[in-house]
Amino acid sequence: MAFAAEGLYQSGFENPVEQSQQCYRYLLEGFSRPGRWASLGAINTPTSISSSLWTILLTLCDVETPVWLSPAMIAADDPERHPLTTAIKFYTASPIVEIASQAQFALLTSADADLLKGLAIGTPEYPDRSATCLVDLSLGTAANTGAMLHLACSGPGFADIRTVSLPGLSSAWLPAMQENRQLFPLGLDFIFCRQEEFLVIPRSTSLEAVKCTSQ
Amino acid sequence: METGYNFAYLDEQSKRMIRRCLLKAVAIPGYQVPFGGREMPMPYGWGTGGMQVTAALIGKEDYLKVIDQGADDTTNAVSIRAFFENVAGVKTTTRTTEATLIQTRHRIPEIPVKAGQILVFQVPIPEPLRFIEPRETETRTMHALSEYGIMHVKLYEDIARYGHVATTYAYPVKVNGRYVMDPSPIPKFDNPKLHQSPALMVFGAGREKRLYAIPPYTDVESLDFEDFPFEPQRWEGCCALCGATGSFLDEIIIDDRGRRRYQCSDTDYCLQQQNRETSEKVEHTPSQGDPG
Repeated sequence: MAFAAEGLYQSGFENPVEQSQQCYRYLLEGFSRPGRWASLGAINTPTSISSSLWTILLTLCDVETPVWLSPAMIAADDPERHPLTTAIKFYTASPIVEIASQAQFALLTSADADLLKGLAIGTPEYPDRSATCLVDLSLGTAANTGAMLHLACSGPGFADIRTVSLPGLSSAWLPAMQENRQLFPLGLDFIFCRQEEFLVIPRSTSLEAVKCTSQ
Repeated sequence: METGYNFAYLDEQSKRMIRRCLLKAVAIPGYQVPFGGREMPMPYGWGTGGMQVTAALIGKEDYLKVIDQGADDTTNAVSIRAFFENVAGVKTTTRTTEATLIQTRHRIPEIPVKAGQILVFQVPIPEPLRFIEPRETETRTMHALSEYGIMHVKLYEDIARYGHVATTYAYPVKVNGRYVMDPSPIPKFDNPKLHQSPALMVFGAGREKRLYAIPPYTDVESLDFEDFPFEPQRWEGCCALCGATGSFLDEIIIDDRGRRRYQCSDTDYCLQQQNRETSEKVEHTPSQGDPG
């Protein structure tokens, strides 16, 4: 192949057992106490995706978890390097699915608010059979526009109402995520990724818009 | 540390499966997530569910505490602690305040748990409706529809028969206003500790292959009636060893005439209380000699 090999073959965990355990504890903490940015540390990524998103993929995905990529996510591939789908298959053996509703993990960019409707939300008997959205905030059309979504969050895991700022997200995400909250206990869980950091908004979190003056 | 096993016994794919299920459990507080329970090197009923959760969570930095009915020194607690020392080489402790992970059989420690600690409960029968409705398909539908009236009927039957709610352990709770959940066979004395706890609580049932969780700062309400409000147990006596009055006390028969005494079920708490008493006495001794 014409691609430079080093990008693909140097993007795994050096010590999979320890690193995936450490990443998982951050993730569990993120789900337990949502709405906080936490850093997962630097790691080589096979493409231009955020390194936190890649770390989470390596931690959670394997042959049992169908992964779906939004068209914008696929379009974000660097033509000089291997496609992201190749890297996912190589490192996790996860099946890449074409149909969004079959995905257990959906990879989205900041431009994909309108694609949430196509994802699995679970059934009343099995609300756990739903997709987890991994949203890369540094990719997508809204990523570098200076757009910023401010949300007042409350619910399980919040001792008090907490204001969360999500850079790169357009206001279209708010109604989509509020509708998702209405579906509880069904619905999607969100992991927002930006470079080395991630932030979790599970389906149980209530969201209100915060009007931001100045700054 | 034993060699020949993966870190913490389970293989990585099993851990990933349990980890994914746990994230769902935290996202849907009180909902029982089915998981692919693995065989553990001990029989069902000895905490295989809790051990699988602990194995999926534990890391080299963790301090593990294991309690069985509050005690650190009973068979179940000792062997599970030894197991993780062997297969993960982790540090263990009996101090509640030192532990980062606490696997527990049927108690919540007396010393309030802190943010960042994780409690792992061993659960025999995760379904609170099981004794009322034996069919899984039915109980699943009842949870889907929030059809929990029958749970109140059960509590009402207690009141009709005994004059009070006679359920003293595994007392059903409603989590986040949605799912009715079995808090595992903890005494109802411990139920108030579930409400708005700063620590994450995870429940693992190995035989039934179910996981569920209560995230920190979540409303957990023990089911009751307006005219029969929920009441935890209370004791007339105090602990015979440390004198504590606010802890959960075990009743011990001490002779064949039915005489009895009470003792803290939480051995770490009891020991801390006793140590504090001793150190206070030591501190007081010189002051007695002080003039004036």
